Amino acid sequence: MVRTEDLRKVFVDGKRGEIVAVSHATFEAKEGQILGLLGKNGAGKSTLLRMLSTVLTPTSGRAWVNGIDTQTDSGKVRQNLGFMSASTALYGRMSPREILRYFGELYGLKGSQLTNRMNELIEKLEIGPYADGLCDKLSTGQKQRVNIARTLLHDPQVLFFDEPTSGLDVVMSQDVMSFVEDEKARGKTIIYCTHIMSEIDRLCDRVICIHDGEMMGQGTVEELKAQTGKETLEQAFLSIVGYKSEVLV
Amino acid sequence: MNWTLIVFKKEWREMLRDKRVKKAMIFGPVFSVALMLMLFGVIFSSVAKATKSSVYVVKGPRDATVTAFLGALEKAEMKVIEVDSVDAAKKGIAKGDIRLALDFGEGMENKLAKPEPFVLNAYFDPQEQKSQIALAVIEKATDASSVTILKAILKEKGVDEAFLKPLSVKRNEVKVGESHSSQFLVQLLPYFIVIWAFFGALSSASDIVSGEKERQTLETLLISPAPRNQIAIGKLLALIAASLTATTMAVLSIFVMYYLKLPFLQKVFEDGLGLTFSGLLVIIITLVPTCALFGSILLAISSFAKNTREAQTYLSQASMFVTLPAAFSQIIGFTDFAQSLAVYAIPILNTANVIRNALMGRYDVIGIAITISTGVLIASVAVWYSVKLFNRESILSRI
Repeated sequence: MVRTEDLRKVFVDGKRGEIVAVSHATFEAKEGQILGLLGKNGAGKSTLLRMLSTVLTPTSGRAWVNGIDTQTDSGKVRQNLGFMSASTALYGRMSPREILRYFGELYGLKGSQLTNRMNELIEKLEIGPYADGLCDKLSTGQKQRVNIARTLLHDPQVLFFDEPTSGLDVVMSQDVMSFVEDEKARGKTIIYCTHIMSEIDRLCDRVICIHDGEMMGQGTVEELKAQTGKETLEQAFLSIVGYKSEVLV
Repeated sequence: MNWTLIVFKKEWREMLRDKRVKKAMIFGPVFSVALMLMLFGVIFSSVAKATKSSVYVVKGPRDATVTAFLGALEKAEMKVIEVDSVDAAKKGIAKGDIRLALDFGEGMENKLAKPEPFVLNAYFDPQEQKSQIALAVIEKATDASSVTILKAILKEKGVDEAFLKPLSVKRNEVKVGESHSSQFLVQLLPYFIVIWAFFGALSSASDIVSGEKERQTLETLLISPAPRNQIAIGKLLALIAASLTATTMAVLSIFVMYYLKLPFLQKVFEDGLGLTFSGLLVIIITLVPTCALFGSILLAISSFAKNTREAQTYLSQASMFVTLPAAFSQIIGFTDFAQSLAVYAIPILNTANVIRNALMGRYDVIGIAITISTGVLIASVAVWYSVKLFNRESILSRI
């Protein structure tokens, strides 16, 4: 489970002054559910995920990942979560197998336990044919499979996906979403950031709309449509964030 | 769990797979030092050869004194060739065929017998270095002849020939160190050893943090359970290892060149290598904190920079601050600083100075202690600061 209470992040920039990236974020993501974070680019989704993954310290508020306080026990929080984004690259001069071993060791896996888990994921994600070649030579889709394996390696209870299908072709995007659904079926708590409505429609049990760091609305897709009186999630989202256009009239 | 070791192992493996890093860390120091030694070996051999080259003599009457003088030159392995006239000699010099021509004129023997001073005309191109060398040989020969003539005159007049040089200096060399290298090695090697400790890790530095930011691999690393301090120390150790490897390669290259005993390197190593076991030990002990300092500076720059391009800009500026004190160590022997204890408190220069002294077989215990203490202190501050920079929240948001 992931829970936040009034989480806030303010960056201080020498030229622009204070920039509120996330403001008063309070929500809960339950086990076996996918919580979607929907917002345009720069809305604050990634900052929120970075706070939850302890890379950034909140300016105020609190958060718990799998029941562990992100500020008092950050190491344990990171041990319990997996993070994946489409922009995350791999070490070009290492092979997928070496990368998996490196991260496995960082997550405390050792010996046969690590080898067995690596082999299991290599087989499941069909990485075998290129597991020992250098990552520099892999295609985008192959790299993303390795990224998924790296994320799932330590079998974390909580998973964060930050626009994981960005830049991927349709087939690979489907594969990524299938893996997300598999993990949901295994009872994992998942937070899924995207600005692609169809992905939210397909995957998410609940959705939070973020706009300029503010949480503008949350609920199931149907609840959001009902709250705004719109027929589609896209229209509901635009209505929630206050977008004015003839299309919505 | 030892995350530091895991990170270090991964970084080291990646470094060894990077061609640029291998060039800077292994091939660069080995070949640059070898080439430098070979280049100077060739220069020294050429200078030695130039002293045994040809000398042109304008045709004319040769009395016994001239013949004896030319005989002395031939004895010194100079080939004496005749040229028709002074004009022909000048033309030859202009064309580059003749480096030095001598015109004895007439009446050398008579004039000297009177006794009257005799002027020997030498024609040469002052911008030609080989001409200068040949001229120096001729001047040495004329000085020797002058002494012989004066001795004969003094003897004839019944004056003790020792009075020929009423005031002179007797050289009494005092052996200070256990052994010592040639002046050439003492001047150049500290510079090479120190700068390779920096440049050896330079190419890895831009990649180690700023490269990870640019490729977006840093975030996944920071999201792992490994504490940032341990990640930073692991990366720092990899940079220090690169720095130590490069400087060790530079020292090894010197040893290899010495033991190869190549003929054209005879002049370079004519006083031996001059590096004793204790000298080598002192060099290693002082280099370790210096490498730690370099590693920390490089990590700090890489952590601060937004991307590899920005890192490379800062790194090229930082290299100036390393090169200058290292270069100063080459001429420190001409200044009073060489004997000053204050030098041992100046980072980089102190290490170069300790290496310089070690090559001369000198071990200033207080100086070495100050160098090591200063090195450890400054390196500790630099390590603390670089780790602090790595721990900053903005390490990711500065992308």
